[in-house]
Amino acid sequence: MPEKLYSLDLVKKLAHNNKEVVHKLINVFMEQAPASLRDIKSAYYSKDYAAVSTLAHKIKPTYGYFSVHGTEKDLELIEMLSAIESPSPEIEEIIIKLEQATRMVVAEMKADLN
Amino acid sequence: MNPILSENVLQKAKRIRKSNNMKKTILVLDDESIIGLLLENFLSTQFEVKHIDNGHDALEWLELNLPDLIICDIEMPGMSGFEFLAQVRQRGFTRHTPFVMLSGKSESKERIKCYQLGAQDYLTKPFNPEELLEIVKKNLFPIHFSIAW
Repeated sequence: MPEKLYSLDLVKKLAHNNKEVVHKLINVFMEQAPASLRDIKSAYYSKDYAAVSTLAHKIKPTYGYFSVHGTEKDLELIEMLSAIESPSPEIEEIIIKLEQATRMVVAEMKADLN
Repeated sequence: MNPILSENVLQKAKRIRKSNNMKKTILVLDDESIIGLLLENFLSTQFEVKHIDNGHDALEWLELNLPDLIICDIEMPGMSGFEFLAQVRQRGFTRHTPFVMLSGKSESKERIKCYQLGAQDYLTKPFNPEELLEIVKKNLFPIHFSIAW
């Protein structure tokens, strides 16, 4: 069986195992995470690095609650690299990597919901 | 014996509190809807929870309501958690309301700033639910209160 890309353990605990609430939270994640990444990408191409850093900081806990494999460190890296005066070109690579990871997680969540 | 502190009065107060099922009220201020939903769902089994997503609306809500505890994010558009905390501490009614800060940052300078502004506690997101609950209880039911009630 392939390894899961995310975990609902923490979300379930916070939702007191209420299925309806968990589904609602998954739906919010599926809607908001890709949108937030689009905002990060758009801020990056507009050279608004302060916004990139703030947005990465904002969505980091959300990925943490869903324990999305490996993404928390990437978001932390984006946050740090964007906060410095001459941002590293690595940021673009990490954003693309995060977008791919998010697409896969959302697809897995959709499959799990059905 | 002071009649206000008599055993009968305390017993009566306990009964009223129990019969009215008076839940403590917690104001949750976070602009991230997932975090707001998580906190609301987690805490609402034991407390009355009001979730608001921005500092200005929260200050307006505080003009007519007095929560027993405030849980607040730091990074928010419009008004930051620091600004909100400073405003809350300037207001007479909420000057002493327990305040717990939530943040994605774990640096000690952030914590120090929160404590200097008058926050009681600081939790890093994503938080451990059990730790959050203990912090909430610690602030809502200090030892000298729990003994009396």
